[in-house]
Amino acid sequence: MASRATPISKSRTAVKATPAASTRRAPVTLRHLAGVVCLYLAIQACWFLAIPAFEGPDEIQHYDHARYVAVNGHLPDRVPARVNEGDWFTGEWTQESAYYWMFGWILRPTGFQDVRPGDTLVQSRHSIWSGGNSPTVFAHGTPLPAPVVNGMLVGRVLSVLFGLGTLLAVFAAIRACTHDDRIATLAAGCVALVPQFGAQHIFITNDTPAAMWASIAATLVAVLLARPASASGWQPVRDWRLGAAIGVATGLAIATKLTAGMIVVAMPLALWAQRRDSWRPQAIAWIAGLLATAGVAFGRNWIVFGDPLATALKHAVVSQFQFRIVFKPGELASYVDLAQMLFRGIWASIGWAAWMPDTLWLRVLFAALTVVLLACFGTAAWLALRGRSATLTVMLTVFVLHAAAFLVSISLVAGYSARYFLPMIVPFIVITLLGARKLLALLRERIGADPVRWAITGMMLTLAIVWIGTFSAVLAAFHFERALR
Amino acid sequence: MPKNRVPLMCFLTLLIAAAFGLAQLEKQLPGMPLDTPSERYPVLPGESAWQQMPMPMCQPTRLTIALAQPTLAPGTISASFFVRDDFDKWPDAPAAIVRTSLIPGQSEVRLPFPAQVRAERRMVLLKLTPTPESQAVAFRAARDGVHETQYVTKKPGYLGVESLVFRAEYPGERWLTPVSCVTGVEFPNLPPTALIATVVAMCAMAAWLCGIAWRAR
Repeated sequence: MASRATPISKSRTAVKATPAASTRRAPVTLRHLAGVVCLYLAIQACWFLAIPAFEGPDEIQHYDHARYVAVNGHLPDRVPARVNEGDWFTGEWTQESAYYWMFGWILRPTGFQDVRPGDTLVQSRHSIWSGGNSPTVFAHGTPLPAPVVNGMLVGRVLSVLFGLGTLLAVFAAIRACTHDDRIATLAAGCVALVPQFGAQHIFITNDTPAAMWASIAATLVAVLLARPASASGWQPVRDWRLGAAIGVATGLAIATKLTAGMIVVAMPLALWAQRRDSWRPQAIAWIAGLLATAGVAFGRNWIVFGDPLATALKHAVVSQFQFRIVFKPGELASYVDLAQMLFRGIWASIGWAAWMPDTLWLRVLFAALTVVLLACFGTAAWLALRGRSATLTVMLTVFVLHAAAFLVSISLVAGYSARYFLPMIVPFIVITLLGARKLLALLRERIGADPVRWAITGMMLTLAIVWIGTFSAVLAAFHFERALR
Repeated sequence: MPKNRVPLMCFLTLLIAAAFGLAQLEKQLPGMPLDTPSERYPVLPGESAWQQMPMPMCQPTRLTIALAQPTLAPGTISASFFVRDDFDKWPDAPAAIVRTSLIPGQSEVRLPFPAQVRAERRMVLLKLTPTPESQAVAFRAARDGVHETQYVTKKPGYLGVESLVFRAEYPGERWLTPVSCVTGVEFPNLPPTALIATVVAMCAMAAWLCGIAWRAR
């Protein structure tokens, strides 16, 4: 215990010794944070206005799952005998329960849950799914009933808030790694400007809370790994409370969506990377946090369905909906499709029909930005192999394990979406940013500081222009049909 | 470059990009001031003229067509609604014919949107034909074009024809404004200006971010 007490007391002394520095920095951080929040809210307002109701992937199914909880007061506790049994959309009953339980209990006192969402929706005959070219799945000629509209509004606002949580986690993680508000602001701003991030975070789906909880967990791990920097007044909390917080966030991520599961390795890796004697309190608190969240969710599955993963329920729903495995590990074409899906899914795969703007200049800019990201990622991997940063090593390991698990899962289980990488936002941003810093430092040495400065500013501008182009294309695609020419 | 000018220049650049993007979009919006209908709705062989009508979004069952001037004598107008089939072909026979009376002093033609039309496709051809006993009716043109029929009145801004083919977009899933009618969401019930305002706000914040990028080390 003595070994732990010493650095804490030192760090507290350091903070007290530089009150002026602390008070000077706080407003700057707040101003940058406020800027990020304003940028995000402006962007989300645009997406909110642009994309019609229930056009998100399985959005109506997610909403109806929460509505089931709101109406019945409990999560589904039986295996449905057929598709959409009892006039409930059962397609998302395969998902873990935390999001639906929470959203359902928010809906329950409002009374919005009393009206079924699908009664007035008419399927568009010109959807991409039906062989047409329209990204909208539904015809929106008839206004939805007010309770459905209000319920959907609650769900979408929740998703926007989850996105804000993710963005703040990105800011905090980068600040913990770099101790620089500006870089943290740039990183969070870049994430907000990615069209896919904004569009995804207005849809009712459990991807958004899963991404947020996983991002918070990853950020707290980054905080745990961050070295104290007395100049900035930054001091990570090094006691059991941080371990418990990581455990709770990790548990909530897993209890929200199983595809966020790989974030669970972050904490053991962080403790291993630190190699400190006083790891036990944090490890015990982390396990307790996990048990208090994910443990409850999976325990309920065990009691109700006979095993922690509710396998019988999931198998039944998957077979009823005839979900199929599209990725064939032995076929080259599958990898080409996978690369295309990930490319679209990172930048702009909007709506249920996974529509992407077909404008050439947009795709060229997306490709250019992808090359930049890959270069940063490669540099970060090179740095990690040389053991330059424990944070980088931990985040890269988590990301690589997640990617491996993704490949295995799409080979064995029905499910194929770039959204499964949403919980990896913080690890990915930390990796690419640390790689970018090294890359930019090398470039500064070679070509000077000014061209690098122009390049960074130009990239931000490019990202904003790409957003404008994508948004304009979304407005046109979701509200007009070019086949009418 | 002075660091305080960077956000301003980025803002102007983004604003120009946004204006260009919205202008491109606006070209596709029927009834908007800068509409270029000849690209979106070219006059097809056999059509006497075209016209675009502002459609009542939240009242999709009613169609109002402005007249150039109030009618002077009682009359009747026959409206034939043509609906495209699943192969985007226009049929010879109308899906529905609606007759409506015009009374003296009336400045617009009000038509119900027939269920047969509404249930099918959102793109309809509407042929308005004043009955023989009626006087010629002048419809208000949203835009002057080079149409053979314009010689009837010779007045700029008006199309005076006895039989006019409208190509109209059904007020359903492909309309931008008002947003509440598109999304079904009552809140936020914002006009297009709010949409533009949010885009401008986004440009301002992104420009601020560019300023930070310029100062970052």
